[in-house]
Amino acid sequence: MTEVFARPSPALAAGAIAAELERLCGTVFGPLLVLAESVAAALPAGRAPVLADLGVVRPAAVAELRRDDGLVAGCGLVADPGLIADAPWHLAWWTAGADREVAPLRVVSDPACDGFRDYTVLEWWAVPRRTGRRHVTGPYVDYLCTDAYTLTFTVPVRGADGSMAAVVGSDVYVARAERLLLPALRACGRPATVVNRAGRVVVSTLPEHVTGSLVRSVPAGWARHDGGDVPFSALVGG
Amino acid sequence: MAGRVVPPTHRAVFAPLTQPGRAEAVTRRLRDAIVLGVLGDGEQLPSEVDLAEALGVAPVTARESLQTLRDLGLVTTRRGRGGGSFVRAPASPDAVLVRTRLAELSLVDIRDFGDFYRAIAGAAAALAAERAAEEDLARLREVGVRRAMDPGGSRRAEAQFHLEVAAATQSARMTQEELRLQAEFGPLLWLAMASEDGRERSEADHAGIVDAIAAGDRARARDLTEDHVGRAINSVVRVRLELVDD
Repeated sequence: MTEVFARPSPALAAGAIAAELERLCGTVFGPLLVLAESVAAALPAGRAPVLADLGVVRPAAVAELRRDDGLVAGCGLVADPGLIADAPWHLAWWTAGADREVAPLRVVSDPACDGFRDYTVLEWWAVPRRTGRRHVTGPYVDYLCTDAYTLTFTVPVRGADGSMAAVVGSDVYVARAERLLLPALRACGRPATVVNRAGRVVVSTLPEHVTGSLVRSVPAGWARHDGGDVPFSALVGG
Repeated sequence: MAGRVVPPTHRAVFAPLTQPGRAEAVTRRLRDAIVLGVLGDGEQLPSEVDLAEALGVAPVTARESLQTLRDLGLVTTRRGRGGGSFVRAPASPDAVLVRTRLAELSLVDIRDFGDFYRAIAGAAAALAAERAAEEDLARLREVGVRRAMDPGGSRRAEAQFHLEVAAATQSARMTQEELRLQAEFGPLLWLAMASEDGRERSEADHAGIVDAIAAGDRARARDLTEDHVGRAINSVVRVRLELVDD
């Protein structure tokens, strides 16, 4: 039997999906890179910053939360615990509810509290701190904030002394990213799966590759294309 | 995202009531959260209006409930700028007030909760054995063997461990259920942590569970977790029975 429509080869299809991944991540990272620069420029030299120095964060976060594609569910800045002089807290974070109403995250900062958690050990903070580079955490269940299966994009903000003073970041629901990626996966006419660096499935057209499961090795006959600048790979079946 | 500033158990405390409309239900929810240490001393509560909206009750009901909590000495209210309602946690909640709360529970209640929690925690461990990646295992090892010097710290470490197991399933619903159960019953459940023996035993249990998850052994992860929770429930039952003699 001959195929009526020519299908791209698995390798070609994986490349196309990887390009779509880069594009999608670019639309999240782009505004964050701009915001990180603005915050870095706003940090005063020679004195500890105060909250008023961080006025650029809110409008940028609100703009992200009101994007037409609805991709960003949370956005803002998390400062180094010792950074800000006049605030015992160090979080400027906003979320968008189901009705897209923008609300600040409720802030409590009692270390004796049940929910106390040192965020400096968490991946979305620790990796940019270690590498000095932008990072995508997840997919993971973000029980600290969104309560949903989430990808967290973070970009380091450099302080005057060159060390990381804060991260700016965006939370993306996996369900939302899936909606944007599925057409590209279906278009290639072959089974296709997007995994993160650990092999964890972000989205797939193969029911066996359920979201969140681990694909520990590339199935035989499948092509794999690693994203150049994003920590995701596209796998396409033969 | 977010960090130590956003206690996850709080969302369960301020989630809508399943039987809304009664001030007693609001009072009970907040009193338990304060007495069991979910809400910390000095923590600011939402305003009457916000509280009413969050719990799905009328503002007048929230006001009535806050007044009861003030009468109980569990909340203080300051007027003016920087004012609001603040938690006044009892000095030693683990010792006296947890037992007061426990005394209200029947053995049937404890068994009922225990069955349900064992099912959730066991299923979570089995799924985690299938889904946990290296970084999940590293986190589980870190929180699983952390032993605090006091029962309160151990209780938090215990809660954190089971929360991380639930998160390793990659299921948001499973994780939310774990959080909800912890907010409602967690502090009672981990009464087992009150003794040094209990804490050592629990640490050994965690090590075994993490090993089973790391080995991808679903059945063993489930069995060990069910045994672990079962032992904690038995401790609660023993303390509850002691209360009969007092």
